Order: sequence, then structure tokens, then C-alpha cells
Amino acid sequence: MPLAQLAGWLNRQRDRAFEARAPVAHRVHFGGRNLSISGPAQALDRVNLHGLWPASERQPEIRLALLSRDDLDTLPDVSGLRRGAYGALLESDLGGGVRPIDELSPWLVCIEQDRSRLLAYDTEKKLTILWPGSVAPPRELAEFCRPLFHWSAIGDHRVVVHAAGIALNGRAVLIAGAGNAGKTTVVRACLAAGFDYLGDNVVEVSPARPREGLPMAWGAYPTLKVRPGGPVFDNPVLPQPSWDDEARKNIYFLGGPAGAGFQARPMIHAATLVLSEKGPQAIEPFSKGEAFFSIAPNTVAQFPFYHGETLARLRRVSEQAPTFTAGRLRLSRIPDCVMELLA
Amino acid sequence: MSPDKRMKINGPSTIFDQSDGQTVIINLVTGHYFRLDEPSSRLWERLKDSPSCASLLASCRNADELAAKLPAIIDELNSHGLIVLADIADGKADEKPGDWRFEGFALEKFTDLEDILGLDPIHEVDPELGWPHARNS
Repeated sequence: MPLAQLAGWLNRQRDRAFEARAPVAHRVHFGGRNLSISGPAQALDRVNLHGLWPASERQPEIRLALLSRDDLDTLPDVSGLRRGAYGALLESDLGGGVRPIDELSPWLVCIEQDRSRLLAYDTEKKLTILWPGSVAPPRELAEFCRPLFHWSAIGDHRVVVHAAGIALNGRAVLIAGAGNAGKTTVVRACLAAGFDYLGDNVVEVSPARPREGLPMAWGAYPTLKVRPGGPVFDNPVLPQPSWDDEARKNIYFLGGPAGAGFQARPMIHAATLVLSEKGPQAIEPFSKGEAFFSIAPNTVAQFPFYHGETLARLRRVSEQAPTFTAGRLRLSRIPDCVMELLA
Repeated sequence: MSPDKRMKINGPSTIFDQSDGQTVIINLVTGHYFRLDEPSSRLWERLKDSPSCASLLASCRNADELAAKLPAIIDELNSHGLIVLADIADGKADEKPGDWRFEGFALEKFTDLEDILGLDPIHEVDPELGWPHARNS
């Protein structure tokens, strides 16, 4: 049974990697938690710190140990198992439908088909092992271990929403919409106007529950992807970009001194704005049901595992703050329009 | 449609939730997702919870109208892999007669995410580019 062999292999790698007690090399912000990273030097060199933010004070921590390339030589053959997004291993022949392997073992695993990359999360011990690969794909450079971000948010009773996030005075707007709906344009217009930045693609949100306080939003990745030829903004915080051939966009890494604007502190989730190409030319109220429909399938599709939990939490996210919609807005009006949502 | 059968959600590959009267249903195997308006959502809730088709019809104020449409509705949901027929659930109380009114059913289908949601990266992705790029046929 390949799953049992794989679980045994993962257990051994985890024990070896964490029992070695390698010193923590990097401690970075990772949404509503910090992530400590340890491992051999040649693997640590492959972590792009410009796409990460220094760890925040007073946040819980999860641990990640990097493997070396040699560790993968003994990886069992998993070619017979069905894969999902990010090469996530699924079991498809039990019960006639897709069954995630987390029903069979505590491990959530993503393996690229050519074994060039492995990410595995032990949901019981909350320990992660990663072989980052020889050449990290651009999506990984911009959003380090995105499946782990999703899994750890689910474990903390939150959800990662496929949306951009900007904030002002501690109050955040989630900006959702399909590709080419104008999310990045709204984000850049607001950044140029001095808003805080939570992310251009994924934001962690706590669905409000009775007696648990206000719904909050956390950014994770200080990166911004911009399609060439878009509107030009006078924004001094953007450094020289790197080209993402997969998304056909420039990636701006805002970590380090160029990161003015990124906000690691949690913000109150104050409103949700759904953009669509055919939407109204001014911001208008949007029904909770429409907002849920606009956000949910697209977000569920982004991440492997926990689809049901994700859907249920997205419903709560769409219900917990006022929801609005808009189409293409006049650039000069965008900051004022967004500010009105936060009033 | 057999009166001594009931509908069951085809889990875990089918997930759904409802907000503000709208239901979102996602088939994680095909990658297709669906939207139900408020009247359709009411029937969906009844379908998945009714102990039997006979009980569902008995609870409906305009049962004749529902009875005429129900086989096609069940066929449609079944063809999209969203429900399966199951034996009558033991211990479930019958619904109250005349409890609700059938006001139509429209399943809106969307396929734009099937390349991401339903893609098996071993067999269906571009071998050079990997997930989420589909193999060119």
C-alpha cells in the first residue's frame, strides 16, 4: 500500500529533521502566525526571503524543516495515487469518490510529478517538511508554501480567501473578483494613496463567531503581481520587479526596505468588494448570496484539502461584513470610493 | 424514481453551502460548480433531508406539480454527480403534510474552474509545465 509506505517515510523524515535540532535560520510572518524555518544550508539558500516578512511579535509559531535533495532518493513510488492542486496526493478509489489522504493519515502532502518539490504537513504535530526544489516556480517565489498557509489557517479556525486586501486605520477591505477584474488596479491606486497592504491574491480571515470578537484579516505575502501595460501609478515603494513567465506578470517583492505599506498586524475585516468586468461603474451594495457565489468556488479551487470547511467558512466571511460590487472604476476615484466602504 | 428511495448528497466529492437563499454546490471530481436560486435551494434542502421521495411529495402543498418534475430534477442532479439514490433512512421522522410549496427548480452550471478543480496533475497536466497547466490534446 503506497500510502502506508509514504506515511512511514514522512514520519522518518520528520523525526530526523526536527530531532537534529538545527537552529532556526529564519523566523517569518505567515498570516496569523509565525513560521520558523530550519534546515541544511543548501536548502535554506532556496528560500526567497524577499517574498516574506519578518516575524511579528506575539504570534503563535509553526515549524518547518527543509530537507536536502538526497533525502528524496528514498521517497516511495507514489505515481499510482491521484493528485489535486499543487500535486496534492489524493486517494480516489475509496468510496467511489475523491478522498483526501488526511482521512487515512495525519499527513497532507504535495509532490510535483517529477519529484522536484515536496511539501508535507503533519496535522497532528503541526510540523512541516519541505524540499523546496532546485528551481522554485514563480508562484512559489511570490507565495511561499501557499498550501501550508491554507492548511494552517484551517487549523486555526480561519480561512484563506482568494482576494486582495488593503486597509486604512486598522480596517480592511477584501477585494475579490475573477482574473482581469481589476483587483491589482484597485490595490495599486490605494497603495499610492497611502493605504496599508495585506496582499494582492490571498488574505487570511477569521470568520466571526459569537463572543469571539470582531472578524479579522491578516496578510501573509509582501508581494505584488502586476500585468505589464497596466495603469501607471506614482508609487515610490515598488522596487525593480522579477518576471513571472507563468502568470505573465511582473512580481514586486516588497520584503526588506522596499516594504513600506505591507501590514503584518491583523486588521478588522470591515467590507468585501467584488469586482467584475461587467459590474457597475460605481461601488454598489451586493447581496451576501451573490458575494458568496463570487468568492467561494474560486477560492475552494485554489487550495488542496479541506474543501468543505473552506466553503462553510467563506459563507461566514461573506456574511460578516458589508458586501459591495463594482466594475471598472475611474482611477482617480478609487481611493475615495474604497475609503467610503471603510467609513 | 422509486418512492422507497431517498436522495443523498454524493459526498465527499460534492460539497455545498447556502447564503442569503442562494446555494453553491461544487463537484470536486468534475470541477463543475452550480448555483441554485432561492426556490431551487428550498427543494435542494428538502431533497437531501427527506427520508424518502414519497415523504417529500407528501410534504409538498402542490405535490402534483412536483411529482411531474421530480424525476427530471433527480436525473439532472444525478447526471452531474451531485446526488445518489439510497435506501430509506431509518429513524427519520416523516415531514409534515403540506409544509412547503414547490416553486420550480433551475440548476445553473459553471465549468470555468474545471481545469483547476478537476484536474488530475498526473494524467491531465502538461508534462513540462505541471499543474495547473492542462495537457494540450
